[in-house]
Amino acid sequence: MKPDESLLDKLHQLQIKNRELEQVHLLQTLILDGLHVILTTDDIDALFAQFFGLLHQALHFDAAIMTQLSKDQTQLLPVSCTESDSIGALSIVQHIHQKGMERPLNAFHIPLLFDEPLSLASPWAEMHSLLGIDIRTQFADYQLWIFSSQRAAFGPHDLTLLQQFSSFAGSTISQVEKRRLQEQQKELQARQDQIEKVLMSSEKMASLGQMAAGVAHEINNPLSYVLSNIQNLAYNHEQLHQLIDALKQAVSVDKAQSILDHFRYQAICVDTDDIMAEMTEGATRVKDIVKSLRQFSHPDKSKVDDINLAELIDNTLRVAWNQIKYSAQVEKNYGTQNIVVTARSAQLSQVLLNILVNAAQACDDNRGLIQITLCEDKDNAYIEIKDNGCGIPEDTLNKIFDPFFTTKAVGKGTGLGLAISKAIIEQHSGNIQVTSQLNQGTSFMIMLPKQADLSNDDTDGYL
Amino acid sequence: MFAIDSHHINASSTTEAAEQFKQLLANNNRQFLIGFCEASLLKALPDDLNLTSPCLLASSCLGSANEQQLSLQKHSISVLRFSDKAGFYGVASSQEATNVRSAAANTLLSAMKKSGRGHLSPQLIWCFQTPGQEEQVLLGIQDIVGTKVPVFGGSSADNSIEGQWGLHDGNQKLSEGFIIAVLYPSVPVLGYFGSGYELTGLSGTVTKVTGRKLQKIDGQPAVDIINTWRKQRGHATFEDGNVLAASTMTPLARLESSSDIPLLLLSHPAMASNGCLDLFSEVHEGETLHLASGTKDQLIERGPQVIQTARDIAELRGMLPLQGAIIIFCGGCMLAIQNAMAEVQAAMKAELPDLPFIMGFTFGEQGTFSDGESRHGNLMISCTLFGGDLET
Repeated sequence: MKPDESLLDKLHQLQIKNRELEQVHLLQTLILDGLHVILTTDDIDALFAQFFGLLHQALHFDAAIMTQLSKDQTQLLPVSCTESDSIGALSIVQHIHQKGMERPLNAFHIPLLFDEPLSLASPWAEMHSLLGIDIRTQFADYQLWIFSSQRAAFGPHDLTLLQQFSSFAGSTISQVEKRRLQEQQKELQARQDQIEKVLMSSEKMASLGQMAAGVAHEINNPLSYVLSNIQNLAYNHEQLHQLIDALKQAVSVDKAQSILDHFRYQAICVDTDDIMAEMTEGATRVKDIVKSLRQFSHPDKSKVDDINLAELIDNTLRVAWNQIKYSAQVEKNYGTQNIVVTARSAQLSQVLLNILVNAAQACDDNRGLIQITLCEDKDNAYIEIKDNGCGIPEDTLNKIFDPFFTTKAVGKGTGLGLAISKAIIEQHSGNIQVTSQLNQGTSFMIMLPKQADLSNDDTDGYL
Repeated sequence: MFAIDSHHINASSTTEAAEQFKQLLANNNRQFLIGFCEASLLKALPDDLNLTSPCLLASSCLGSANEQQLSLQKHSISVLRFSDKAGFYGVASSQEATNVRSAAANTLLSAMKKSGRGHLSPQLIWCFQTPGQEEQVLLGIQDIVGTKVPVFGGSSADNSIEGQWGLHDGNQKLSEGFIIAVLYPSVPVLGYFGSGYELTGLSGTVTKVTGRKLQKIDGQPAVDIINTWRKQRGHATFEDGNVLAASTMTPLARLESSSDIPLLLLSHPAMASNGCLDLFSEVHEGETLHLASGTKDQLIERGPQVIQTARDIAELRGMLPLQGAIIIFCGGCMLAIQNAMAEVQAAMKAELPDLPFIMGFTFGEQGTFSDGESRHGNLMISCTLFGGDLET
């Protein structure tokens, strides 16, 4: 072979090989960019919309649509489209699907695909060429349709490129879908674990409620006769005292006084009065605890009514004012609208009282500030009670709604106030949440449905 | 499952060869059949080959070959049979001689319809035609499917340029016209088109031409100008009559330059008379015609090289392992190196080890050049390869 002819032939070979390599490079670029898009886009619609942009680098086309095969496999449903009006494209591809034309598909003149002319709106009426390809993922069958207004716009190379890209896209999306599914499964598992924890906690609370009711019942009976007997004993003691005074009048005063002194009568009387007072106080306290326990398990069923929350809070504040006024100022942000909820006012008032008194006690230095904010959305009302008091340590924050948990000195609190409050709010289908920062303050956020269904409420506390 | 098998029949009489061919076609259950047949044998074949599958045959100069045998000067036929139930194939023909372009467009649409793929672009279009209207057939095809679908094929040939060429579409024989096949195989396919010629530096402008009859170059009788060039290159001058063999090593060429790399589009002079030359392809007034030059060695080497290049491209496209090939070898070139054709066939077999292929010798070749455009040319060699089964 002479050099000129040989060189020219080599050039032709290189030209073809170069075009093949360009095709490979184009595919690699598409795959790399496609991978980036797949990995960074969660939404499948947005993903396919970005695919159109990518494909413009490799193919000259005027419009495109991505469809998904319906579950009964009879319909192609639109997923994403380059045009705002996809009806025309859907008519074309639906027709192709119904005619059972297999993909990959390279149509050089769309009107020839149909026995009768289709009535299509712009720009679909002007489209002549169509490439159709399947993208199969693990969970769905998609179809990518590329349109050109030029007749016979696409060649075998274009179809091959699209086939290779769709094959990559299908398998990669499947992998990503699988990974996302695994993540969702993990998330669901975590949620299930959380629900199980809550259920266990609820069961624990219900058991506690039952126990509290039982204990209250068991203590209440002996306590009744202890209290009754203390009263009787006090009465008897008073009678005895009067008897001895009368005897002192009847016998020699000196002699009687001597005997009384000998038996330390006066000291016994004082001591007995003290004992009686302490017994009364102790028994009364036991009575209060029993009352709280009963309330924890059987909150009072006051009347269900439409309640103006601002009024309720003001009324509660008046009750608690003696305990608040020396510790903190109260700032109210009720807004302009009346916020009304359907609720049991006595129960809600009890909740508010608990939180307000706690807030006052947390401030306790006359420089405290208690901010009460009311707001609402379409379905719910929100009450925020925020103080700038001592705050709650992080390790105890998650225990404050537990029954009998208290940070107060022994005898200063039963540890049932917030547990009862939580029970009441949950009975109203609401929730109560707390956030706190040590030495910064504490915030309670109560959410109440505006229309809680309390008509069939037969749950008693945690029972 | 895609499979190709090749068959070669030769016999001393057309009757015997035709009978053997008939037996080969009995109980045919293939999806597609294509072949080359020595011209007199083609005439001896029955009009109806009783085939249910699409089929096209073209007459081939002196004979034909497959990977096993080369038969020249014998009544031979070489066919490739395609088993491809997942593929689609369609064939249609036309004997239209005047409005060829339009007829080609309609014939293509008819072939597509018959294939069952409606109006979808095929992977490959194959055309066989009698010499004379190849450019119009190509234009008609491209009117329908554009220029991106590769078109390969050849012009039927006889043994001595006496117009004894013909075609067979399975249902009828055509002494004039064309057959178009559309291929949607289940495997990838590619073709490569090359020649073995170079420019001599001698050229002139076509100043008068009628169809394929070249009358004047630079205002002078075409034969006179070309004879001047031939003298300068040490070749014998043309006398009136058949110049096909004499011009094989010195054809005319046009430079196509749709890309940066020049393409030689060759025209083979066939007959000289009264200062005019009958060509096997069209040239147009105003075009520059070059005297091209080749050697027997170039022609002998070129066939296997075309196959090697096609294989390289197939490897780049990931088409391996290959399943078979159709080779078109210019009949004029074959006549020039007739004694070396066994060597050429063996070298081709070495490039396509254990693969079935057939080779025909045509009077005009169609194929896709390196710039991606399909054209009609002369003195060309093409190799069309069918790649690995996508299902496996």
